[in-house]
Amino acid sequence: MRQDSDKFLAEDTVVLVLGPEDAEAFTKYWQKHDLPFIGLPDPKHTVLKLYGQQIKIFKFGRMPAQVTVDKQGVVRYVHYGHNAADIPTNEEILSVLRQFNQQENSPD
Amino acid sequence: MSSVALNQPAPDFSLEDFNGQTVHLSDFKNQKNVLMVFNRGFF
Repeated sequence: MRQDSDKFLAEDTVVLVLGPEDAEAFTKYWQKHDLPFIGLPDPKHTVLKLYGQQIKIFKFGRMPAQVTVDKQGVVRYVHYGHNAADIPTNEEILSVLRQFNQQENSPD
Repeated sequence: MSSVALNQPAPDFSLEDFNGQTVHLSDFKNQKNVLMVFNRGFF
């Protein structure tokens, strides 16, 4: 995702990365990978639960998930991974963002 | 386990980023689209 960070920026989109680790682990990871995204530690899992990130004990834990929200605060795209590798491509998400940016900018 | 529904308002939340800055989802309303990526964990 990092390599396409400019494309997300071009679609007027901020990327929030949430995970179950604490702030220290996030800091280390961000320093190591120099990520241009907002990292939100959620060690109490409050938002992870609120958004329904799934946990599958027999598939090594937490499943990836992506949620896209438009400027009106409405959920426009949701993907809950069924396994660790079940992650949509950046292009798939960018395509969704382009669509709702176009809808927003089109005259009614 | 709850999940969010398409075309419904996204549940607002606030969390501190790893620098201690509080981030609300609503901070971005009327300004930016938001992509939330829920990681499995880094390790």
